[in-house]
Amino acid sequence: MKTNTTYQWILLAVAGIFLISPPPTRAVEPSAVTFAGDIAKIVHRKCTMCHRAGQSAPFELVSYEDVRDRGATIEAVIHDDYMPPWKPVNDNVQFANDRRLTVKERRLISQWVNSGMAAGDLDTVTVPSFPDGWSLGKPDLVVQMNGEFKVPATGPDIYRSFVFPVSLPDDKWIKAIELKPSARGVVHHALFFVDTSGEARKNDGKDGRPGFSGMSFLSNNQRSRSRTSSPRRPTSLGGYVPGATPNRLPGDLALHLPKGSDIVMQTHFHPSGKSELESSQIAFYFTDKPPSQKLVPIQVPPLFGRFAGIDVRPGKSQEIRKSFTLPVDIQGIQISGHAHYLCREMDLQATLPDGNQLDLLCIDDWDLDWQDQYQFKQPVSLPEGTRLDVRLLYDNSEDNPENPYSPPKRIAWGRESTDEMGSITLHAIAKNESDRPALERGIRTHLIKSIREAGSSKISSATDTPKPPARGAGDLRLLLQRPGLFSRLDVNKNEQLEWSEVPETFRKRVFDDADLNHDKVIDQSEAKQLRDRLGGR
Amino acid sequence: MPAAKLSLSQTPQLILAFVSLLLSSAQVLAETDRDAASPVTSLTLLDIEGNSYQPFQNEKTKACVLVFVSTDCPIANAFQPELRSFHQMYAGKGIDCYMIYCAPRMTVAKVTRHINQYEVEMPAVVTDSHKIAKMVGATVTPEAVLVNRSGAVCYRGLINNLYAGFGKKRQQATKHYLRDACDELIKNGTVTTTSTKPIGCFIHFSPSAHQ
Repeated sequence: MKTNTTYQWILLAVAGIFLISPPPTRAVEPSAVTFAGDIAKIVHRKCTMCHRAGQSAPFELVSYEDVRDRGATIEAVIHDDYMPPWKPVNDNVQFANDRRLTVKERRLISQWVNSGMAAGDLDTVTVPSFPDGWSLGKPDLVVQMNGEFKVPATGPDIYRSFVFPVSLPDDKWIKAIELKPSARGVVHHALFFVDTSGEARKNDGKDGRPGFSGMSFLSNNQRSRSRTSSPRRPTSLGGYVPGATPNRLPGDLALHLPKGSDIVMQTHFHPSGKSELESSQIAFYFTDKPPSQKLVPIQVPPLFGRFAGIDVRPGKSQEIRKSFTLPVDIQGIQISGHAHYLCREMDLQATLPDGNQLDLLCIDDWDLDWQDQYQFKQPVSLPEGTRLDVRLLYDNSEDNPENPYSPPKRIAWGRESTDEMGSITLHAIAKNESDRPALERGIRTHLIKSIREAGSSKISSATDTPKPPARGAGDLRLLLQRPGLFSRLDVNKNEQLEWSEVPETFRKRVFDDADLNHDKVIDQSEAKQLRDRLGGR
Repeated sequence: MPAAKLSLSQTPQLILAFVSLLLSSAQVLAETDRDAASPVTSLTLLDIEGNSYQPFQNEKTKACVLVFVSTDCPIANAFQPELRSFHQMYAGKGIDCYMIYCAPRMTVAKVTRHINQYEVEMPAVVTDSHKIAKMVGATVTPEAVLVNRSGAVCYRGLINNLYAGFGKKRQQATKHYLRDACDELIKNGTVTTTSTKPIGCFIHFSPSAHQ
């Protein structure tokens, strides 16, 4: 037995020399790959940002020993294109902070791992330091969540909003936000809003736990807006998803944080199997000057695909294609996608008026766990008339390992992570700031058109549809709960919805539910009563 | 064994000519090794609390499972609830389980913290863990090795198919390789699927562990 084992090792070693390593004459060359000479700078630039103490990655990759002990695993995850996490595969636009390894870097790591992982002169290695613990250096302001929120080990997903009573004495302009959740494993995503009304902090902790549940903050603001002449709708500051790296907005771009306002973080948790306590910190990076231009999100399809007809039959795949044509010249600043488990591929291709095509985002292996906001290295100029085509591919077969159900079940649009969503958002500025209202109008019109189209396609496909999707397009009652939608449908801006303003296919159902006095008008009071009856989420 | 008759002093050309033969022979050797009585039967395992175990000393023990894990491999950690449940279910069926920690630069404190955090119930072995891995040919955490009373490895590889690859995690496993292998072994004394390719973090063997 012992002899066999010894021979086995000799044989494997001999085979290894011939098959894996370079020929012996080259293996002893002084130019052999070492950690100090070649590997440290690659790892420190592409891995250490997340693989260090206090960050989301599971182990540190800083010292020679850290990297040596993980050598084979590092090589395997690189070979598998799993690490470093970077989803876009399109090469015709350049992204800032591109984490991908070059072919040469991949080869060096492979050679190093297979040649015994030599240290080299470790005294020459400069270890990167992150003195403040944050990716972008010392923040201008760090705010801590009030208390700790317990996320149970198992159970359905939880939507919870937390208030950060920032209340600064002066207006501020935000260049970047970085979130540090304490329980990263259970935070599916978080969205940040500015609340100038003070409504959110009134709700905070009412049920004896930090924060408040669901979307009520947004609905409350919708109500308060209707009673005041000045708009007080919460404004979005973007969001956090696992794997995202914070970037400063380029140029003089910045987001407004009005004086005296609070930050509300709406968090989506999915229990991990181990009970966790969440107590986030948010870091802000400010600039003193207001921006000369405002960043506008162009989302295709709008509302995360709420009206895109996402409805994937068990065992089947579905391709969704939606387009938006730019009403003005714009400059693309950053781009991001969102979908859940069934989505496999997503891309956004711009077709310019001259026929030239440009891939702005192509993801061929979508992964819910690695969503990111990709900032272009240089703003991308797109002239008026450019068509943005988004394609989303869903796979509801057993072969999709991320399918939330086995055996597969029919999955339509919905808010739970086991439902589906899908859209790509291009954050852009109008080339001329004076064109921004036209851009925003175009986006609004596109939304309303999407809703109308969803209604008519529902009727036309009714004959071959066995039953309507559980949470698919068509339920306008839920829409009334969404911030701003009432006013978007309210084309003549008289703060009520006339019969003609509601898309035809939804009218009967909506007016049956909401029009209590049967005057063919839904006023704010009726909308509020409907929201309350539906649970006031 | 033809491979064993080759001398390393022969010319490189000759060795090159036999590279493929060498490889296949080594493979055969390795397979033979696994099927023959392995040293596991005479092994003494020392757990982190100082208890020592001789896996097959108990007459009722039908087989033992060595599960190789580490403290900070996310894939290995994701299996801890399944391993606890597996242990609870199979301990009474004559399957003894041992958790063998093969983490880089382990300390007792680190492993103890891990045991508490993940509520590890089976004996946790740190002493000589890399030698044990070497002995049974484990290369990855998590990896399960099922050994019968005569010391033969009846199954090695995945615990179940919770992971389809790096970062490809199912909501729940749909194939339960280790449980199936144990059930078959208990029922028939043989196992149909004897190996699957483990997915996880490679065990780092320092040069001294190769001896």
